[in-house]
Amino acid sequence: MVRSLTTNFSWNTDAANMLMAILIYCTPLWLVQWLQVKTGNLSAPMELSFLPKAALLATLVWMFLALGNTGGGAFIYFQF
Amino acid sequence: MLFNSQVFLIFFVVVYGLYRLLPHRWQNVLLLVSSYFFYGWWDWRFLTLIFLSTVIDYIAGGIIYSAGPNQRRRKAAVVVSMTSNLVILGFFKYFNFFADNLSAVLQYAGLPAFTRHLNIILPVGISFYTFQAMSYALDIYRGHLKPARSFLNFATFVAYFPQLVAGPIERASNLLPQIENPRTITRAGIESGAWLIFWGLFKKCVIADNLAVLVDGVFGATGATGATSLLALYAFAFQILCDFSGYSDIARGLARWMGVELMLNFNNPYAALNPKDFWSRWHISLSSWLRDYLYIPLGGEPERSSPNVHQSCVDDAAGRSLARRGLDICDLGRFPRLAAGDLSPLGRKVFTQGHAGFWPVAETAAALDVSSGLRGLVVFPGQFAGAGG
Repeated sequence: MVRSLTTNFSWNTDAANMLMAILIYCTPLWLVQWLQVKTGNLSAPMELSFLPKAALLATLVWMFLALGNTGGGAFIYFQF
Repeated sequence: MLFNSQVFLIFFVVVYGLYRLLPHRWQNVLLLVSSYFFYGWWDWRFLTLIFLSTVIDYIAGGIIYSAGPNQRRRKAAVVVSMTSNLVILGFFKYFNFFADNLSAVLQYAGLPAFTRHLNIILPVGISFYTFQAMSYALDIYRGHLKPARSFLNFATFVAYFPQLVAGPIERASNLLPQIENPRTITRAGIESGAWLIFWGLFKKCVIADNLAVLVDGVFGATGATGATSLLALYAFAFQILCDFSGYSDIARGLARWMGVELMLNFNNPYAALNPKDFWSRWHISLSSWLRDYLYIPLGGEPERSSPNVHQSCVDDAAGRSLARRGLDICDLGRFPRLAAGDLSPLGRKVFTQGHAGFWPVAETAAALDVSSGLRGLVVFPGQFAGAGG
């Protein structure tokens, strides 16, 4: 797999689909974290004014209901 | 019992309903009983170990404190406490590893193989509560803490269910007073707790679980192109972040609903600009535990502790890699750190001054670099019963 980075770095439909999926799933994360880093406040999303906060929450709730895995997937438990 | 399961939802609704009705002392009784129920849900036999660890550290803490200036007695008690905890941890994590290797060596030497292999299950979260219990005895030994007022309070501190299985690893000096004193539940705490719970579940159920499908599809296949492999590396980096930090967020939110403030465990780690910054943002409760209870007591300088906590991590990782159980976040820091020392000036500059987006791939590449395979990196669902924290 690592070798493929140098010997077979071809862009195809699979890669495009994967990029799109990553963008869809991670955009809310980047948005929230950008807000937190920009303001230096981890509670920043909850301190937005009414409309942006409502829009953010509505989007997150919609994504949760539409895309969330509610099957109870196990957490990755790190070991040490 | 997983935070994102229906069973947990029912469990928490019942526990929280009762919690709001009871006075402080009975709240602690409820927390202890529910925490043991939560933990025993995986396997009731695990309860024996957590109870044993609790009893040992409670008694040790009392002896250390009551010994006063008697250094010999104090040292003996803290040594017994540390040894007991580490023996339990080491036995459950490494017995089979040493048995297998001894067997291999004996076979190589033409001697009869050592065939004893214990069919034991690694208790879930054993490292987390062991470290937490150890911090209690160590803090009393250092004079930073007084013993718990009652066994009930201490047992509740060790087994507190929101953070029992995957952290944050709480210090006795932070959590124990909150267990012992009446707690106040505020509207602000409920609101911010609700956000943490929702955001943690979002990260787990929407981001981590969906990215896991993509990542497994690439890492489990042969013939993936470089582009998909690279994207899968990025996806995996965000999967582990969302999975682990999601758990911590939910834990902090649940605790906040109960009027308890747990320590911050993740502070946007992928916004870090360098390894030092990264380690001050990722699994903060473990990094700071290693700093305070391992690195500094071994002679480390507090003011230089952030970068040098890596060494503690490497020591820790070395121990864990013995068991070939892959690596965790500590290992992830090795690649950039070692690489920064080994590379050309240009490469070093990239590693030490790289932009934030670099780290997820560096860490994931590190994971691939030092492990025989992706499945060894972390505990995946199928392996869960056999490996805990």
